Amino acid sequence: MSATPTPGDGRLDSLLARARAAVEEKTDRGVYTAEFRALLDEPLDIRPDPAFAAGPAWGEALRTADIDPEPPIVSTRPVIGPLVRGLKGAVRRGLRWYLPPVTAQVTAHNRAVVDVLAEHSREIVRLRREVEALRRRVVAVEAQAERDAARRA
Amino acid sequence: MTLRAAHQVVPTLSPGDGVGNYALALRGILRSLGLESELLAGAIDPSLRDEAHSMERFDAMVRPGDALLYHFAIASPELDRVLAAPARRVLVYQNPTPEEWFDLVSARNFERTRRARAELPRIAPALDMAVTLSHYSQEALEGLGIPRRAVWAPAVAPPAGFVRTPEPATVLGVGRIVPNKRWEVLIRAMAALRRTHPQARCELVGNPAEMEPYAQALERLARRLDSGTTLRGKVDDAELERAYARCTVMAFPSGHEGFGVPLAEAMARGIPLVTSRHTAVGEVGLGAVLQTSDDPLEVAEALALVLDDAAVAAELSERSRRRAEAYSPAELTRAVREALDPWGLPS
Repeated sequence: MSATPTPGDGRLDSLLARARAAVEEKTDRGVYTAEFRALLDEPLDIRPDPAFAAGPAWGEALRTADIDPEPPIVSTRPVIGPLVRGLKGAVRRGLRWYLPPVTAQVTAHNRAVVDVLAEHSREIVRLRREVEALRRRVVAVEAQAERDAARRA
Repeated sequence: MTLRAAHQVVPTLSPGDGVGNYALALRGILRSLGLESELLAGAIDPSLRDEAHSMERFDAMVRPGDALLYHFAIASPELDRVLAAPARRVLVYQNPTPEEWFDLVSARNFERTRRARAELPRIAPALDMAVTLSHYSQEALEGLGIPRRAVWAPAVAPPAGFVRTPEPATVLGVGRIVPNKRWEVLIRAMAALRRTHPQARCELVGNPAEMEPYAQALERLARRLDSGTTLRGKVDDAELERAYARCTVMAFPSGHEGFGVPLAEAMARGIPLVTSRHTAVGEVGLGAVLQTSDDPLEVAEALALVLDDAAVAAELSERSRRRAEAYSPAELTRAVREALDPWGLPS
């Protein structure tokens, strides 16, 4: 990330110098202790977006997890459209004792599956990062070992 | 030949979106220059239906010789239609955030910004002109062979009757809740500030849409550090103005900006500012704001300086106002006129 340098502005520079001096003074006074600095330095605890492991289908899995037991009733047929809509409405009312409890159960199951998948995907992302970091360390250690061997030879 | 029309294309138009607001402001200026000017969008929020046309109207509206401005912030299917149009093609380069900022936070935005930035060399040869919102963003266009380039900095002005009524020790952060804004620096700075100013509090105003992993991490950090920071989410314009009015100082620790509209808005309202100095932030706040390092302790002490010293607060407020004069509607109109004049503006 590049920083755009600002031209010298004596007054603003002196204000910044005051701020920096205050940091030093408060560090000396024990306001900003080493423990407090360490606390501030802790990395941001981001729980990864599951889509990094699950791929683009993740959005669709989330979108379709909840089942709507009563989608809009539509019929655009001329003349008989209203009749068809009325009939569909009557069938829906007749099935109300049965369908909504079933779809509620399916929704609950889907949500649980999505939660499990999200957790697994986050774990996969974390493990991939760890593997990448370990690979880099192995490469560095191997390079060092080769240099040491060459020196000994 | 006189230029007849300058239309604009945005991938999406939604309320409170920086790109959309800028395009709407440009439309007013283009019309004031005597040009026909309409907005076309791939997706339009229902509340803005009257402001823009669907892309289905594209072929009927764009005629040979027209200027066609495409706002380039993410990869979108509208771009190829613009490139194939028999018009003078102007890229409004909104400086897409580098994808690494979205790592872990949003796979979708990671991919979209990666593709957008990678596409620039491909589309450059088809352009007649490229516009950026800051001089900093021009760097990305160097060496691409684009025939003409211009900087059109957004215009910012407070609403009529805006009056500051600062409440004690109130720090404000304004901007989307996205990782490049680095709100964690502000939250950590607030935790430090409250060691000596326990009454200090911070309002963070911004939309966290599609950035939930980051927003949730900020919430946890704010609580863990007892930072006195509240993430208020997206607010409407009236509430944003109230937040601007009641803050003592605003912080803007951003790591990447193509311009930084909230920074300029705050300056136009005479708000003292403590900012980073990265990318366009350094340019926009030049000589007006306290530009600190990324150390939260230094940010905290810069904020304390404004809270504790009324003379410093008054001086920074005045510097803000003066600097914001560079971002007036008159300045933007002048820049647009100057750039389009060679194509023959209507007299």
